[in-house]
Amino acid sequence: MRLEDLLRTLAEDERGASYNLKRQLALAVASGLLAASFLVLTLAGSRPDWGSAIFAHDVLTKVGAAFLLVGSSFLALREAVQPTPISRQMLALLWAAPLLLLIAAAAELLTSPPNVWLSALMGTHPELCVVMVPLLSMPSMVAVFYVMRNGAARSPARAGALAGLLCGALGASAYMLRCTDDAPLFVITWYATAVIIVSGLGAVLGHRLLRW
Amino acid sequence: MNEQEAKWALWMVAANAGDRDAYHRLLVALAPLVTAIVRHCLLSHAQDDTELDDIVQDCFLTLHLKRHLWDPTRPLVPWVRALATNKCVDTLRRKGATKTFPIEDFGNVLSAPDAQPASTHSQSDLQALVLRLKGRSRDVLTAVALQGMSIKAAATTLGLSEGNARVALHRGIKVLAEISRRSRT
Repeated sequence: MRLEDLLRTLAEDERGASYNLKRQLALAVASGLLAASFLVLTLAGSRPDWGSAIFAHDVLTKVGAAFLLVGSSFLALREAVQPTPISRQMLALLWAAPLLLLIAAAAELLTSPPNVWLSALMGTHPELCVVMVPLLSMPSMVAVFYVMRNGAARSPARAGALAGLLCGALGASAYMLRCTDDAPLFVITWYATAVIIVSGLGAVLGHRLLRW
Repeated sequence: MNEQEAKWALWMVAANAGDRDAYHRLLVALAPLVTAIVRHCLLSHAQDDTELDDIVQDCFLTLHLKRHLWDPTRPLVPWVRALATNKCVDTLRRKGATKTFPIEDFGNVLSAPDAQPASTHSQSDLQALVLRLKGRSRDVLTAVALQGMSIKAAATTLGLSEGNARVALHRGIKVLAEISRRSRT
């Protein structure tokens, strides 16, 4: 086939490109978060002490870090679905949530006696956190990857890892509705492990599913 | 961004709003650029350009199917460049270790060259893929892409409504891109 024939054919197929990937990603995130929250609240219920917890520094830090990670990974992902490189600022922004947690954990170590460190680290249900967060991120993973197939990621594995980071953060946000382990040492260990698992899964899936 | 690139960006905006003429003008205008990008990509990977035409056509198929991704607030040419370069590099990576060697090195083991073997592959590639399609998509693509008909003429000839012919064309193009992508693994 000659190139000019192909170009003429492609032009005949132009009916307007109305697909808005940014908006679809936002919809995927919103529906993933809603689904995960619904799952937590119906299967396990909310934590009983929200009235007082909402004012606790540890809780604010935990929730704040989750939202920071959701926001920063969402912004980075919007660029990662493009063939052009991700801007440095977006990648730098990804450090916001880990930094917040690092500072909070350092503060906890400095202000509490060493004999409570271990109990702070282990909390009450570390195993539930590591299992539930990845499970709760699955609805978002399905929705986000479905949308991303319409992208043209410069690096499919990296875009997948970012998608995993985002979905892990969404799963973590939902699990926080229930979880009463608030110590920064707990969060930076178990929540982070759970999110990294989802991100790794995202990288593998991205490599396989997001080639174009 | 120079004047020409600004003009192209405007055409792309018009195209994404459904203006076929603007889109066709844009594609034709982009052809030398995309060809140059792919040639440069092949050169920098020490590949000869027997596959140049195939990869360029692949780039345009991809550009067509991914054009909704371009953000009108960003310049068009760097985006097209990134898309074409990625496509080309990925194609070469998929071909993997199949390195090409200069034919002179094999002068003592090869018989006298047969009449023109090289061009058959390149010339027929997308054409062969069109013929592998099924049903209406194949009919419409054959008429439009291979026989040079307009979509209206193709619809009349095939006894389809213009709308149905366009649907078949669109499906065919998507399948074509998909087969082309897989056939390079």
